[in-house]
Amino acid sequence: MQREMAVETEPDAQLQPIGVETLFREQARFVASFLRHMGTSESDLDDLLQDVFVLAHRKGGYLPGAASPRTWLASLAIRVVFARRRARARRPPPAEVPESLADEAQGPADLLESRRSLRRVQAALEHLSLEHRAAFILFEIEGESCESIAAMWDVPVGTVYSRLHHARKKFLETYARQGREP
Amino acid sequence: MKRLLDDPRCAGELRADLLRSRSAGQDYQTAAKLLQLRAAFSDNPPAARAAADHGLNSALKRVAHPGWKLAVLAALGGGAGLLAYATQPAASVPQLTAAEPMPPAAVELPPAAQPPQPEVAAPVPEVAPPPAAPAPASRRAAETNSSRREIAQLVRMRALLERDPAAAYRLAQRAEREFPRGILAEERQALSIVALCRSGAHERARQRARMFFARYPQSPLRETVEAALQH
Repeated sequence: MQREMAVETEPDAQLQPIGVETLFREQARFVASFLRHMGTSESDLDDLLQDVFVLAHRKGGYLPGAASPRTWLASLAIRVVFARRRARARRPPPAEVPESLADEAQGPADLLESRRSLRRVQAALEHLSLEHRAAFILFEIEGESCESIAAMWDVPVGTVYSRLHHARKKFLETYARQGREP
Repeated sequence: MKRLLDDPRCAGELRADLLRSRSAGQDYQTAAKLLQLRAAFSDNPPAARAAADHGLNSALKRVAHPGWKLAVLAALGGGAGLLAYATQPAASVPQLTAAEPMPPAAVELPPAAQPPQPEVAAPVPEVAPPPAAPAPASRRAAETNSSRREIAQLVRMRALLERDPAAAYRLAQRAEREFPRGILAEERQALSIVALCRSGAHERARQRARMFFARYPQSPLRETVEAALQH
């Protein structure tokens, strides 16, 4: 009978970095969604998404910590979006809603509704600052926790509550105004 | 803090709009875009320390695919037990067979696989540019050496697996420290689990297997690991 071997003490594998290809396979759709909600146009989406993961690669991948892989990638995406905006020195046009966005299993009526929904949400998000917009997307749409968002920005969780409060107020005002406009 | 969607007052069109917004990335063609990303990686080395210690030759990186990796192992005398890995679909990444030599240092992807060039030269100014690197040729040589050391270590590990699995496991642990972002991490972790099984450390093997399956849910080595756990 073989005896139980002495296993060297080693760092917990869960604390080891997650490689960027794994991140890409698992989170590319999340990053695409986040970038679109942040106002990235369809013509820029591929470039910016690639920039996010190249940046992640240069940082050596995701190291498990208080921020989840998603919020960590979101923090990189915010930098990329901010840099692109600054480079263009103008506010980007509202994001287009991609033709193929909705689930292929949806019928034409569902597809149309999905596009309308996205346009309404995008239009309301356009009026938020980048920070408020990011907080709103991550918390309200993507379902991330306030703690993870706070870790992403390295701010107290109270700061995230405050940003969410202001973001939600502005979003709801704008969204309601849209409904009243013809 | 309660989400809008958890608030019963959020109803009707707003609720529907927020719910539908959750699928805004579902159409992204992840698999196809991964190839472009790999090409982009080769032009953007990781941060200084990682690049110096564990970086990959850019050409190796471009063909760093499981099928290629196992082909290299086979060429170096790696075990046949894992060669099934090399038969996995290789997407459209250039793939070498076991009979082919190591790729030259400057394998180029076809033009179609090159990433689109961004409109702005430096879209991420917050991040320090890659550190002053040694001359490209010497850097490439260092990276190639690192990759070859990693490959050679895995081959040694494979050879030890039959006669001294505990030593194979220790070697894998050393390699993990030396190449934490190596190209063969997935294979090394799978072989570590096999080594643990053969050493009788079944509980430890099962624990590592759970982490392996979580980290590499689509791994072509899954069956190898599962088979080891059953013995």
